Amino acid sequence: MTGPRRIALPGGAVLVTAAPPAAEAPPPLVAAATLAVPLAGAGRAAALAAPLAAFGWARSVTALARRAGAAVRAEPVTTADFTGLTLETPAEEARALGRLADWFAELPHHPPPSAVPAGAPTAEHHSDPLRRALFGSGHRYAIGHDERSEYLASRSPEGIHADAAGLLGRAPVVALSHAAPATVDALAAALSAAVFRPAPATVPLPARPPVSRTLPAGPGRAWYLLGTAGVPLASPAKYALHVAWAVAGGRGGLLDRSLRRGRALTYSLAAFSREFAEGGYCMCAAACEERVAAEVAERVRAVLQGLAEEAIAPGLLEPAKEQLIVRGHQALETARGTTERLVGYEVAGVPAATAADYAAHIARVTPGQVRDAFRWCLDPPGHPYRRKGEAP
Amino acid sequence: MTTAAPLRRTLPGGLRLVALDRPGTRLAALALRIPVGSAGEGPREQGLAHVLEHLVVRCSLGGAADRVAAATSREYTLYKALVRHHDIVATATLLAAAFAPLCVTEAELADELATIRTERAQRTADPRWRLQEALFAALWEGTGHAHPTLGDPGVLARCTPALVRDLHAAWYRPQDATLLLVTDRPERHADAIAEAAAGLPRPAAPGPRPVAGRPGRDLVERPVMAQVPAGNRQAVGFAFTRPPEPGAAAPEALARRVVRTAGGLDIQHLELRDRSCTWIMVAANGPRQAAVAVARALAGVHDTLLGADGPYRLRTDALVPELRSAHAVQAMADRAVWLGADAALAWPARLTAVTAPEAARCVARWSGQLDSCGDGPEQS
Repeated sequence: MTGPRRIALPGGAVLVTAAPPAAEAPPPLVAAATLAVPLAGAGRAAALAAPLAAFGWARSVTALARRAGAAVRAEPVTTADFTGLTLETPAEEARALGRLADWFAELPHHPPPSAVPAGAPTAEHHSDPLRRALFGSGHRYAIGHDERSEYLASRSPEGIHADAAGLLGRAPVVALSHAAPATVDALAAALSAAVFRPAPATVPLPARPPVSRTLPAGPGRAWYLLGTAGVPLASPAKYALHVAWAVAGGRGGLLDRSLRRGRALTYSLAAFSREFAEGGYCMCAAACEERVAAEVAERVRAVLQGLAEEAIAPGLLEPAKEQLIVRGHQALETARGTTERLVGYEVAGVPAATAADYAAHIARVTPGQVRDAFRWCLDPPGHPYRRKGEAP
Repeated sequence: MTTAAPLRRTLPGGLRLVALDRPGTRLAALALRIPVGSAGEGPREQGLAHVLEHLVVRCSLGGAADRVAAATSREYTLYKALVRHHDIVATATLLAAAFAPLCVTEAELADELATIRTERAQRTADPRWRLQEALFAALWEGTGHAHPTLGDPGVLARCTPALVRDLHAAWYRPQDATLLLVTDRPERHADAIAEAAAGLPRPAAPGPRPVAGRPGRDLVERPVMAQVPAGNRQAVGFAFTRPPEPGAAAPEALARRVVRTAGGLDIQHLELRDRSCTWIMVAANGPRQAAVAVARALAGVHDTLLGADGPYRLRTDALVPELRSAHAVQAMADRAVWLGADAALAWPARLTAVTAPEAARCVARWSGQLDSCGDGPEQS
């Protein structure tokens, strides 16, 4: 099977095409294309406005596609590193995706949406205070739900359009799922017709020491949150971090055993590492009763400290790796899952083919690497190592 | 398109294996469906099907909580796993251990009951969950379907290891259950799964199965309205059911998508053995305002579907997102659980064949039922 193909186009845009599906697989039902504009160095106003600007772009592209008679569904997609939109269409109409660049080129002249939807899209509300502490409040990775909501509520649709206008001139990254060569050629030709400004290079952020917060979550209830440094998407250390946090989190993970078994301190528990283009973070979140939040905090720290001190048993390591590998395959089961992954990698400067190598990298992680990953999370270079029981 | 007929086989012990082919996938979805749900519980058993689910994961599938996701619904308990090919047989063997006699200590039971109390506290804090349960209680009043799966805290407080052991022996019987497998060429694994099933311990002396308070097949429930406080406003819901109707699932699935996208309504759906339940929830100042808002939204969606844009909206708002994961193994297994294996395989073709007027008829039916909802109970 051939892998994804990266095509650097003359005007600065990049087109990435997904690997074709397995020969024996049923024909795809849906085709997708994702267009992403990098946010690195875009300024606070543009980063704050990005989700809503993308919402407007999706509405505009929907209208343009409708006018062209193309059955295209356009949805905004915004992460910490890019904003843009994903187009999906029934597979038999995939050639319509070749028009994406034409529709994108019309956006500066398209009126902004007449109504601003309430609220701001956010997927990781609980991590807001942790990201502020870990990345510094001035970085776009620290933008949280409250700041964004307040900003968007204060802006008119025209204001949002103006905030994001500069983004439309930036060199986009476009990923296309299984499409006919004619569609790829049409898209490449249209993207090549424009000259874009290159996005500034990404700058790796320094790692900061762990932070924790206890937030109210309704009467008598609380969220205990712990955040640590992570690594950028391009870092090979991310595989060990993924395994490390998979060992700690999840149903049946070490945190689950410590917090649920014997004490039933929590029902909702999450622990994961997240990578962006310029940095990353790791997080544990546990919902609990307010009165036991201190005990939850103590147990979480004890589990992580234990993992940083001794190499983990293979019996715990292998199931965690397997979970990650399965999830990695699952994320690529849909056309849009694949195109959104490909643009994310390209924006972060990671070769697209890396997506297919994920399972092999995870399989090679050793118990010692997991221990070292936790040591690094709890004590990134330049910060004192904390002993069991010490408050961060 | 996937066309191979499902493989059906009865394994030693009576467990039915139903396998669907999904060529080319590296994954396998397994789902063990046991017909034990809250609707089968008697008044002094409310919540025990859910307790069994927790204990089976903890005690019988020990150490597999990372691999197995479990859920108890009105009519089924489901244990699911998503794995790679090399883990299929081991995972099937693991899931079948759900039928082994349940060995549970006082401490383990106390632990899981405490977890369930935490789960209840979290769920009851959510107005959507409270409203949903209020709707079910009104819709199925006097039947086993009326009470929440989480059950009665009083019943749980009286629960003992001996009681759960006996209930497990009576309720968890392989001959009543189905193991679903969706993967590439599943027939390659069927013999090995059968071999593994032959070595499983048998449940000790199964007792009679409980048959409690199911709404009868002929019972046509009256549409209902319910409301619960939600901040400064009310969460208001309308629920209605229909008897089984061949071919209704696909147009309804697409109609729900259009109602969500074009009508902005929170519309939900539950497929039961002999009825299908749909409910709509909105935030409003009261039931009358809610009913007007829902009626207007449904009428707008109906008109859109029958207008010139109808076929286009059906494709972009509903067909594309519904087809998006139609070939994903977990989604195929989920559909096989609720709609049957044949319907799961035919799902993409059925969706593609739905027309805008068909979807509009579903919306018209919901509108008609909304008119009959009347004033429902007010819950606090």
